[in-house]
Amino acid sequence: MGLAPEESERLLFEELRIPSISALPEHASDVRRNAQWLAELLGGHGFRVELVSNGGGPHPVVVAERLEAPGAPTLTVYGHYDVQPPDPLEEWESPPFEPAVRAGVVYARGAADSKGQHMAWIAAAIGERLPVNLRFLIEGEEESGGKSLPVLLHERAADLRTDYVVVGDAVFSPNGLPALVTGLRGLLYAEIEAFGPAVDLHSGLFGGVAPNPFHGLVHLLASMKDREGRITIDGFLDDVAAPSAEELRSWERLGDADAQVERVQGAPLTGDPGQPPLHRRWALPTLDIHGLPGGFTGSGSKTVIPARALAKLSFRLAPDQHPDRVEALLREHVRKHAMPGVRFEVRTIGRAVPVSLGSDHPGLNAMRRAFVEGFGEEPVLAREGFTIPVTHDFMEALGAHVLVTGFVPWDAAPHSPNEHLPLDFYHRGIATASAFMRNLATSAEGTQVPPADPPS
Amino acid sequence: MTLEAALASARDSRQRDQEEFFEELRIPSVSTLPEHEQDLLRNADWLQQRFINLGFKTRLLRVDGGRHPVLQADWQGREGAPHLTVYGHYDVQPPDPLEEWESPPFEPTVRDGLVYARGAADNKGNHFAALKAAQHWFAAGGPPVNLRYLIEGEEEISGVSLPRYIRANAERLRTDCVLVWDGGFAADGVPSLTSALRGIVYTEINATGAGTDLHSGSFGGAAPNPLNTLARILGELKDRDGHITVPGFYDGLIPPTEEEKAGWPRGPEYEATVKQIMESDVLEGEAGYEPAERLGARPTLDVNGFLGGFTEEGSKTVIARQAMAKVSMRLVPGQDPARIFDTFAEYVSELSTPGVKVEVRDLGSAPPVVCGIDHPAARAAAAAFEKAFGKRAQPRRMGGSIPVAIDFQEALGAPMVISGLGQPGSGAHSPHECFSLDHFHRGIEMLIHFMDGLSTRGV
Repeated sequence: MGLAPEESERLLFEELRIPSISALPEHASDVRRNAQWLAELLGGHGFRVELVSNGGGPHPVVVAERLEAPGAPTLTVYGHYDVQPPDPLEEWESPPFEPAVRAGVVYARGAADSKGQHMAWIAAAIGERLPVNLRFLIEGEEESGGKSLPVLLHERAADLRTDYVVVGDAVFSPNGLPALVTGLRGLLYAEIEAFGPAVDLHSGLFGGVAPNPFHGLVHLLASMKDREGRITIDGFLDDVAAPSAEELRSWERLGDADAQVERVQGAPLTGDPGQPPLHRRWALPTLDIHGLPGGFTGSGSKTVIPARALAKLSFRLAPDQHPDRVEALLREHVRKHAMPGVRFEVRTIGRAVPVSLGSDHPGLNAMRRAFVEGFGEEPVLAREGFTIPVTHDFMEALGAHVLVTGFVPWDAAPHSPNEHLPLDFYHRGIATASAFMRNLATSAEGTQVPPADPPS
Repeated sequence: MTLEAALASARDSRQRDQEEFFEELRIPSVSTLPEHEQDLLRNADWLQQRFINLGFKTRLLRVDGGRHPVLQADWQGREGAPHLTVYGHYDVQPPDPLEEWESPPFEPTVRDGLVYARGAADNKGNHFAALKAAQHWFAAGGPPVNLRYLIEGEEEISGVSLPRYIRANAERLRTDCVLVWDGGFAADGVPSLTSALRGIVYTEINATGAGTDLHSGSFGGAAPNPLNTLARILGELKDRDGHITVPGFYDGLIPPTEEEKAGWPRGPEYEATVKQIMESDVLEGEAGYEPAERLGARPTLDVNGFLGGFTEEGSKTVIARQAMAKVSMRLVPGQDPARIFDTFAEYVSELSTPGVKVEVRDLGSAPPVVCGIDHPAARAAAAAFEKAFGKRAQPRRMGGSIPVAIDFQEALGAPMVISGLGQPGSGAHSPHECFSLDHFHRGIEMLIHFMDGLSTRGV
């Protein structure tokens, strides 16, 4: 049953040879070619295929449906066929668009992010008849910030009705366990501009009476977070929901994730010492200043009191915070803490609602059992600190249960030279995808899905 | 040699003097930017040529450790008469932000009797008027005093050339009076005489967090963010009332005398003028002190620049690995720059937050100076101002520092007069720096009177 392993690898390698770099205009025809390649492959296996271009961006979304199981649940699998630019080229050990297998691992741009991911689902779907209605939505603008997919989801929500969505773009945990993502942080990105005198002034002539916008700004920023990293804006933490008992139990299986993070960031972990580092990265909100331009920044000295100064900052938001309320709290805080003589302007330039993916729908159990079948391991319930904007679009437009997971190791170097994917992960991924679709059908028929066994 | 002839020569040459002044303003002598090095040299040559034409003995002095030469011009033709040294600088501040200039910064443009150009007030208008005063005296038979001009190219970068030269040649540079000609008027039409100058300590704080730039989604909450840290540190250096929190910062500070204070401007009209000059709706400052005191007799701390992270349009969710802030403090008599720097550096390091390394660099300093105004040279200057401008000079303490003043004072020991011609609102260091042409021409006459006064009243 299913595709022969050689055949599923041949298909993956064929797609990996297409340099579908969406950020570079000179590769536009390659991106297009990749979309057509997917359309032909899926069209050849009973899918009704459409390449949708709707003005949301330059590259089409591949929409492929096989809705032939009346009464069975509908599953939508999301992926993206575009890849990051491969530079720096000289650091690749083999050419980025010539898949090379060394010690059972395939090296190529896109192997992990995310051709190896959606090809596992496609290989499962074309290798056998599965008892679900299946739709693929595979976009070509994930790495370049296009809007074609969100536009499609909102414009054609009724046609795209689905029970479940799998966002198959996530990775395993650092200690090698499969991961099922239960939450993503949201975001409020703002600029605070401080205005002092109308023109830059000489600090010798006017220092002592000239309002320096930097002082207003740094006072304000210092009042938002204490020395140890606790955010001190009134009411800010009110809506933060604690992780569930189930999540907390699951996180115990992660082992010493902190050491891994410390190694990658090249600095000790910081933040509220009253909270475990994992909570600080996944389940708690943050405040980070990203840029603070203003005044004289060349080498040497200039004794200027600048007319204005700007801070770019963002809050990562935890469920159940909402960016609108956080924005209101921020504005209130600025109003209360503004120093006399400095005028402040707050501008919001980005927002995303934090996402809770739930922990009690049949899809989750189906996925847990599938991982046990495919990888021999119960997945951990993980969270991510960043946003995957499309997740919120799926929830909002389609009202479906969304599962965020993936078949790729933690350190597969997406976006870096020598991106890779162990072929064992690929084949187990195919098995997991196939098991998930069968489990989904069984659970939908009302069959009691037994809880998966914990790993021994 | 008559005063009247010198003044007449000045009055007859106004157009020519002005055109020549604009020539100097066209030279972009920005001392802090390496790409202008040739312009500095060109400016020094340009001035040197003018002194040579007047019969001065001149030298361009290159000093070890310096970047731009000092121009020295001497005329010793009046044996037995007092000797006057005039100090100025031919370098200027960078003109940025360029987009805020209404006319190009190095193309002098006259609007409403003001010439707009970088360096017009600070300091080309001042030293060029002093050169012209000598020239008109030569037209009238020669100056009544012996003259030395020391015009440096490193004032805006706290360079070492002139200070080192003065200290190494104190004996040869002996003089009866030093005119530190780098100040300006106290108020509209009111000249100033400075009794004390603030000093300065200019620092750079570098903060380093992680080994690399990080994604704030993946690492935010557990990664050290040097921008957060620097903002915190800077926010704590001064409290909401404007008091500087560096330990011991105010220790030993010599307050102004009641007599000094009595002469200082105050009241709503004065405050309105200061606000108008600064183009600000409010006066900031330390609680419990009057504006004039805050401007000249109280130390300050200002953040002058901040660099780090993502500064383009739009959003990037990066946790930068490094950030830098420039912070300077103006010091008043009784404060020692070296001690202040050490305490500041230690305090800043203590304020840092976990995971962020902080390094503080000293980018230049100058001690505060007290020169007094109760000596014959200062009285000669006051009288000369009154003759040329019809107003008594107002005593004051000056907020800016003129680093070389302390070197003159300590090495030469001569009485010092600190003043200048810039009108209030001349916008030194700002994008609309300008200089009153009326002040320029009357300033030349004032200097002619001053030289006369020194010779007749003595020093």
